[in-house]
Amino acid sequence: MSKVLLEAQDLHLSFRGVKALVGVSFSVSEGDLFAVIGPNGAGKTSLLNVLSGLYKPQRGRVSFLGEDLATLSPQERVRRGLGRTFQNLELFRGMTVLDNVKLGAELAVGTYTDLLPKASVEWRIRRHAEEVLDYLHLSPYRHAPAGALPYGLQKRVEVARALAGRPKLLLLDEPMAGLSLEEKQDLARFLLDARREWGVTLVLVEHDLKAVLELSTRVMVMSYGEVLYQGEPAGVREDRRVAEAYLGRSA
Amino acid sequence: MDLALNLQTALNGLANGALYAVIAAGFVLVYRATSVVNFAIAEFLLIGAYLTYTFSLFLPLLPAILLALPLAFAFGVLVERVFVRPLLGRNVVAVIMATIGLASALDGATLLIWGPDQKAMGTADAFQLPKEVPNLALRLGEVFLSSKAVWSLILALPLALLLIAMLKYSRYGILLRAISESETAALALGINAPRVVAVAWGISALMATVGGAFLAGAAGGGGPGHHLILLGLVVFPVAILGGFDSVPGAVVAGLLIGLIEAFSQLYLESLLPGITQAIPFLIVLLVLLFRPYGLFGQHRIERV
Repeated sequence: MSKVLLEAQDLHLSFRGVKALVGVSFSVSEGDLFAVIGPNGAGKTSLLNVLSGLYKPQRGRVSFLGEDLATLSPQERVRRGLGRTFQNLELFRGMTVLDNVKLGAELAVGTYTDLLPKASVEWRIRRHAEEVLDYLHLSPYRHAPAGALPYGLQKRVEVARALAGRPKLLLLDEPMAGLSLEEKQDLARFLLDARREWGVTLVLVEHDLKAVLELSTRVMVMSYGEVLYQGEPAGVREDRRVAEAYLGRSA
Repeated sequence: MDLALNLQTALNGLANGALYAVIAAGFVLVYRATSVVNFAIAEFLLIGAYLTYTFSLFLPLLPAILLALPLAFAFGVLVERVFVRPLLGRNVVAVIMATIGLASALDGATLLIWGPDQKAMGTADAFQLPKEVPNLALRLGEVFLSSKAVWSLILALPLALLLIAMLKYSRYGILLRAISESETAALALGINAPRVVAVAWGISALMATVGGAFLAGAAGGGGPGHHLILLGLVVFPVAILGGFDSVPGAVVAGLLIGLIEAFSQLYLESLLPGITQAIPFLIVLLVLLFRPYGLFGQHRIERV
């Protein structure tokens, strides 16, 4: 069994009585492609926000590489190697694709406090960013303002920006949503390549069940903040509770 | 038409405009970083001017200004930490009301500390040192430039241009632009957004101090008093004319408004007394009617 990277124990989160997470526990091991699926409102994005530090859970703990994250701010978590992307695009729209990815790459190089750019570091950032752009087939768009690209490409830029930071584990919030079938297949291939090339462990939140089952190594199904199923992707379709949540009681 | 007189008016207008530009650039910087409209900006420059005045009781004016700058920076950071940060994420109106409340509170505080009368800059004399900044008044043929105008042009204008350059090329500038586009994403990339935002507030207060000190007569022409608040309000027309979210726009607009005021003073004031004070606001009305994004503002295209 490979090393456990991320571990969540008994997470509880509620907003004024609305329960977003109810006792969620799971662990992600190195090299996993861990999929979190569930219908809208299942608490998937809340879960990601807790993991990346935007929300504080009322109960439970999250640890990453064996370190308790409770006291770490979002940006400190990212610097530990816990990257993420967003469901609603959060690109720097006025900047070029290259500048977006370079800001991501700075994370890998670590230049938070310099006032002026240093030539040698700048060079490393640039090379790093170009490598990721190349890998995700974004090089032709490098000088286009990110906000002007079509939606599918913007999604890919966001993934590129996150990958450029060389995270150990990347949380992806519905990266496939709104994409055409072809774009989905492309993105899936890029993600698998990135996992192989850079050894990134992936946590993929998605509500499209089918897209995810073929990709993932482990699956967690959520509904109304609770975990319905956790385990091999192959077992999902046979699980009675999942079938009820997705297809209705008569199934 | 008297060419020399017009040239002199233009240069003096630009000089005054440079002070507006510096203040407005700092104001817009804060708006870009945090989307907070700082209604207390006039008080920022009032406090900057009073700080300079207080130091000028012991020191020559130039060191007094230099000494006031770090204090002003710290004051800006403090305002951000205490008043603005706790309200982030709340209703926009809440933040607006907070900065308006801050403005009144600072008005009162300055009254308590420095009193209601207008001070005279650089006259108090404790150590028999030369108090005033060096007199740089210039006469080029028929054109006369006051020392205040020369100081504004050689100090305020480069400072405003420096800010633009820093925003474009320095790492902090790039981080600030990133934060202004999406703070969530900036955090997700490990950017220390709170610190960058605090620095933006500090710089804004610092630039208001430079503008305020010279508007208040650090290089001649009166001293700090509550009339500065009215002068400071010109920041709003300047920022709107510049597009509100563009620092270069604010600088150009500042210079423009300075020019227009100077010429209105020369030609219109005798016909319509008081028009000069109203003119920046008339311009704003026209801008809002015909170019709602100002001269350099971002056109926000809503996609549905």
